[in-house]
Amino acid sequence: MSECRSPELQDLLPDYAAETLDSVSTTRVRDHLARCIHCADDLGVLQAVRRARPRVSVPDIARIAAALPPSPTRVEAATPGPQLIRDAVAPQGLQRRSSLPPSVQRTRTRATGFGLSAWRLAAMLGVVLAGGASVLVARRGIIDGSGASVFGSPAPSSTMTAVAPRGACTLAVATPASAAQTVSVSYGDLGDYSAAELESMLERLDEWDGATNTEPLPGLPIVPNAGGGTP
Amino acid sequence: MINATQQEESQVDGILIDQWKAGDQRAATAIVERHAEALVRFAGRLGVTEDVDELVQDTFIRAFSAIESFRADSSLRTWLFTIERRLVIDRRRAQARRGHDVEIDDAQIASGFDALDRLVADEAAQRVAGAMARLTRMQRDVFTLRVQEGRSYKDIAGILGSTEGAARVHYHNAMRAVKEFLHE
Repeated sequence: MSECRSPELQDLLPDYAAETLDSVSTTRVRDHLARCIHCADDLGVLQAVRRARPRVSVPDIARIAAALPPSPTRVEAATPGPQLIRDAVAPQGLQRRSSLPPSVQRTRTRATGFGLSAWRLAAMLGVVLAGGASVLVARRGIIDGSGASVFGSPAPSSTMTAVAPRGACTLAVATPASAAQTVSVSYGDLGDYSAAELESMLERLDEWDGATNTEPLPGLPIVPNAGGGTP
Repeated sequence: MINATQQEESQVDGILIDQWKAGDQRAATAIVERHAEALVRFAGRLGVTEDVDELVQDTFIRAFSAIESFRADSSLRTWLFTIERRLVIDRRRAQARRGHDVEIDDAQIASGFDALDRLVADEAAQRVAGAMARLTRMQRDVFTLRVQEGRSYKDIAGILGSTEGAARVHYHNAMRAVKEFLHE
């Protein structure tokens, strides 16, 4: 038996038998089969082999499908991470901020809240000024040995007086007679101050290098004499 | 070779895979429906006679778990065949380690094929099955993949861990042997 002289077309016989070729290739093979007895014989065998394809029982499709892993998208939707939730629901501005460390976010939030709350400003200002004054006094000595009182003395205004007193509250501290000074720190209703004064107070606060030492020292006499209750 | 059907099947499989990745679990069911029967048949050719359904299920599970590694260089069915064959090899090695079985030789494969022959109805088909049983293991695997499953030589080489040229030679030797048996 002679061999086929068109091995390229002979290679296509299984696909021709399976009827999976495109129309052009099908026509070429059909024309070749009309001339090639060898390939025609092969085709008979191939068709018999295809008919002999063992019939098998189809497995339980539903059981197999149920055992499959969930799709990646479903897994992500079922167990989203915190970042994904923020990205999904947060507006654009918040998305940008979410990329910052939490500590930075908290700092920014505090700054915004401070600017909006006059009461917070008043409370902080009062505590800081009182604390700062107490530090200053503590450094100079509080009471001289004779125990002379200097309450109400018309001492020259101290360089530490933050604002002009308006009678709200005066913190008067006795100092040694040789250097008698009254450190007067007042605070009252914020509405009494102009915007420029408030800004000036804030600037001074920013420049004050004593933020961690603002706690009043024990025993420091603080005498509120009018208004200005604790916020 | 221009195999229009395989190209269309690959396109459909690609669409179904994308749908499954997008969260449509029904696409996975459709993929199972399209390929499960072929996998059962291929398992029979590999000599698997027990727990075939479990083998097919494991094949799909492994495939879907590693679907990202499927690059569509070959068809999905070819890839599934490759996975199934590796699972069969792993199963046989495990059995051999436990002393329950030894390496499956051609005679055992033939007996496995004989078991499938019981499912074949007509006499002509039984004659073909007899001819196939006389082939070597590699010849039979190549021949059935080429003729009954319509795989290309390139795909067959990938499934069986061989080369395209070797697969072609095995096919022609198998064809000659089957023809001789049928013409006796």
